[in-house]
Amino acid sequence: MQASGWIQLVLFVVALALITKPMGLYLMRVLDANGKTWFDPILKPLERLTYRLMGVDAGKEHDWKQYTFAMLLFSMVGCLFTYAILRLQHLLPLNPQALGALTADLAFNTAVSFTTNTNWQSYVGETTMSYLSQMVALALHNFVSAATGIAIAAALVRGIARHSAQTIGNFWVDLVRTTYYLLLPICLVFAVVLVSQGMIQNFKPYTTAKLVEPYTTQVPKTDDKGQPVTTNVAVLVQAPKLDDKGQAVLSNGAPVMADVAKLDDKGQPVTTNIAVMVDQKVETQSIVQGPMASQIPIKMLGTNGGGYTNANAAHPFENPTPLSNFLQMLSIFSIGTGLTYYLGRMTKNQAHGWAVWATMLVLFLAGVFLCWWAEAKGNPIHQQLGVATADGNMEGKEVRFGIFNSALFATVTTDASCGAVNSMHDSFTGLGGLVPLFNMELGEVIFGGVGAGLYGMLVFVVLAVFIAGLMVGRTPEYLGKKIESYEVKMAMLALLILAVDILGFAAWGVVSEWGKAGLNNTGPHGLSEILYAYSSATANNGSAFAGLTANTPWYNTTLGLGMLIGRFLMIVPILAMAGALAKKKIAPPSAGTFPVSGGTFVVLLLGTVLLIGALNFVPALTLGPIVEHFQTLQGKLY
Amino acid sequence: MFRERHHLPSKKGLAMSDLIYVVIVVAFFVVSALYVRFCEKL
Repeated sequence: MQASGWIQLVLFVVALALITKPMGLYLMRVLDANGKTWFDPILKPLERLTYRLMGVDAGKEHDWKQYTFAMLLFSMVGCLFTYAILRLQHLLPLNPQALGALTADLAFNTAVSFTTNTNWQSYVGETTMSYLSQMVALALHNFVSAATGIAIAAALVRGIARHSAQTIGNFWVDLVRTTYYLLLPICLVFAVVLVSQGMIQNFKPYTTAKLVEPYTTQVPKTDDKGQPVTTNVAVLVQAPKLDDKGQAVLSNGAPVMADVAKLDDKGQPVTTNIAVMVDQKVETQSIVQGPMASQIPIKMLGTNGGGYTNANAAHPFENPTPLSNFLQMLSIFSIGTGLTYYLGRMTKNQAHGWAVWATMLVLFLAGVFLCWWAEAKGNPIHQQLGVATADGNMEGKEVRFGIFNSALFATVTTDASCGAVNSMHDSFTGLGGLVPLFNMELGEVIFGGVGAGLYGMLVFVVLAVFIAGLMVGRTPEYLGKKIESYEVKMAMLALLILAVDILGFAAWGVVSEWGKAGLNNTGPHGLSEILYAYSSATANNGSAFAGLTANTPWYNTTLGLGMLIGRFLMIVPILAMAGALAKKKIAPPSAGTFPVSGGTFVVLLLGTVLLIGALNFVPALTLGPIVEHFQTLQGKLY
Repeated sequence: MFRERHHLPSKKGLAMSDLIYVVIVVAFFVVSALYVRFCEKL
């Protein structure tokens, strides 16, 4: 844990604190249908034209059901539109690499992934997506899925702030204004800054470069028609090695395993077809090109996280410099931090907004410290072998960013629902990998996904207030509104969906053949890979542990369903809660009112977040990264 | 964000599997709409 890391962490926190108020004040204007912004002369006519084309009456607000139906309809149409583009990309323009259509299951997974703001990618961007698919299908969702999240948060805050109201805003107005006035202008400026750092933006075909050191690799042999040539081989399985007397050979008390031919019921060897491999000399490298700078700002600002390239933010074009790395991390948190200020302003209790902010900061710092410490400490087996002991665990990390910036990025991207990565989380130590996993399982409420972080945290706030009410024997009250059984039911429904979705699909994956077939590691690390995949999908994060082969019909379909459930079945009860809260009267504070600001409230909220997170997920985490940590200390790797 | 192994993209046209996935998407949103009613009545 070097001094440079401490300095960067202080700079990051200071920058985060400094942007909170300006962003919050700007959000106040954007999320007010009549709010004035600097961009009105240019964007107001465009906003009006959009409403006219959509047939939207911007002056009419929605009740919670109308708001929810509008959001669901918009998301469904967007998802089907993206699916169609991905399936037809080989027939559409802006495809200089002549890339084929995606398979149906991959197109489903990707369309759902971008609609739900997850950006889980079961594909390699630069070898799968045409420029049109990147710009129209994916980038469109990067904007509108982020705007949808912010709209939901705004609707919930309005529900809390309004007195005896029937409506919580107009979904179409929130969607359009957030996209036009917030996301587009910031992304435009951010793109120029990133281009100044070396990010590319063009429509050129990929560049072919001659390698300085050609190498030889193995590739599948093909026949004259281009079809792969296969051969029949015996299937091998591992079985205990036997000595001449038929007894198992032991080493340190454990049986020594050996490869033997697998036999069928009749005692005949089982065979299978495999591809014949041949040597191929590689003398050139294809270097990715394309419209990257227009994609990356919204990828980070909208906490989408879907990389233009497979290496994501570890790629030198996608994250060229330490400054671009710092700004990308800050942009992930920028709207989430501003929304806490927006909460305070809207509810006329700024201290409450800052208390929520402080709770998020404490959770954020705890994650950074644990991840940074674990990665800086490194792998004890490496230390025993004398491998780069002073550098910590550098496996899977980009040398340009090192331990601290990898740990900070991993924490930030999973505190929020971003999912961009600048290092491979699969290569983290047991405890280092625990942090991103746990962050996602908490529901990404630490500054969080744009909008999703705030509405997720407000669910915990409602529960914290309810628990406090039970403790002191008074009717729970939140900012003058009585919290009754309906609000608690909706809050619990939202949280239970998260847990059931993650644990249910992960349990199915670890006991099924299709689930285990995707694993590249065994033991607790293998469990972590599957658990991470469904945590990431359900929490709409999109980062991967990178050790799981998930581009199979089963994984694509179940992960897609996990994303849909994690997004929409969580939002519905939250909007129902917003509608119920909006109808309530605001009672003036009294001596018995539980204060929702100050240290006591922060501790109570922290306890609620951690306790519920721990109760739901610690058993699974114990079997995964925690067991892996202790087994690593014993010298065992997976 | 990152996968180590992947299928090659398909060059085939639209197929029965498209119908299945479109039905899955539409069915999910229909269920979500019913879920709104469920939350209302809870």
